[in-house]
Amino acid sequence: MNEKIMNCFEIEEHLLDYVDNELAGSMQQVVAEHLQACLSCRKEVESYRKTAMLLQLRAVPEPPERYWDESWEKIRAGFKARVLPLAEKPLGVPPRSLRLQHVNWRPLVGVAAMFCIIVASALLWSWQSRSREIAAVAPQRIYMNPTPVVTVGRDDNFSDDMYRQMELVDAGRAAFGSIDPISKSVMLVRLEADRK
Amino acid sequence: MSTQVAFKMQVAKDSAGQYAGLPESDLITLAQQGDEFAFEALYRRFARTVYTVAHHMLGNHHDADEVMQEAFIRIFKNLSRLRSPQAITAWVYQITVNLCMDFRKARTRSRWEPLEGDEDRHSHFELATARWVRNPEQVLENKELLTHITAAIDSLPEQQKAVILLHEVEGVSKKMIAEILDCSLVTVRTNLHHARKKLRRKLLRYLNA
Repeated sequence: MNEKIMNCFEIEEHLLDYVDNELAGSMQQVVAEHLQACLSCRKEVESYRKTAMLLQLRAVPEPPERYWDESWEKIRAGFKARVLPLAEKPLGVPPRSLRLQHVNWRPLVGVAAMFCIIVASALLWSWQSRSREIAAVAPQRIYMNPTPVVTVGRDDNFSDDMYRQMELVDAGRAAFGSIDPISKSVMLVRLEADRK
Repeated sequence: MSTQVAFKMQVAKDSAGQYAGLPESDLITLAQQGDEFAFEALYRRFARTVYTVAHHMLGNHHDADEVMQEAFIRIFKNLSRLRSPQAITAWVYQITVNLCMDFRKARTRSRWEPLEGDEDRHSHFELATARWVRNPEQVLENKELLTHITAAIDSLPEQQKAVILLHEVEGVSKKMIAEILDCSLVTVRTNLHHARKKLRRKLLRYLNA
């Protein structure tokens, strides 16, 4: 009994292909032999065939002959109105304007937008990495040069003139980001020399 | 009718007759060059196929007629793009099926119901069975059967519906259906199997009768 059930399960997988005659020769034979012995599988095959027959019952009525002529006239008029006058302009090579109308612009616009985004991202990344490089190099150059310690508070050793110069340096830093450390060192050394 | 008009009509009829015998590849080439008679010959060749598929998918004459006209306008409009004349049958089916699917989607969205109701949907069944059924009671039973068949088909997803109607009713091969629906052969087989099983389940009462 178990063997029969297993066989039926296995056979069921192939029943629809059997109905369509799409099984390999040997398998078609195996299923045919099984169907001879198994009533339930045979009923199933019959039910598929009957379903197909029921669908074919939905026959489409043949319209009267004049319908096809009237329909052709409508199609002809619609085609002339919407596309091109028949026979007046050949369709083989459509004019440039018509060819452009057929172009689907949406994917092209998408690709162009993607290209712009990629280029903008690349430019931004290169600018940022360049800034990082400068920032990485700058401290080394500061340490290589003798830079005097600038006190935060008021120092009596510095004249008002010097403070004005230093404020200028701070203002420059605020305006342009970091000031060139070499120039800064030179400026501070000169200030120190003036003081002395 | 003037003599000149009658002469023109006669010439048109003769030309249409001559074109009817041409192979499809020649008709396509001529139509691509703008030959109106070639367009008409192509229409005469494929009109019944397009109408039948549309009628099967939409279930009534008016919708099928509307889809057929739109399908042919699209076919003629895009004929210059058809590279292989052998592909025209699959291409015609493809345009028709896609239009039917779009038509049904639009109809579902707008919740539009056909004015003629069930009359037209069922009239063709009477025509189909009139040849072999004479008993009025049986005609009524058959009407009920048709209602169930139509409801069962309408309940299928669009792709399964297209696959089963093309295969079981129109006799289109699975390979061509895959081309028409632009999907794999495996998808067609799967859809066909599901559709058959669903229909069998829904129509079981009539299958055992």
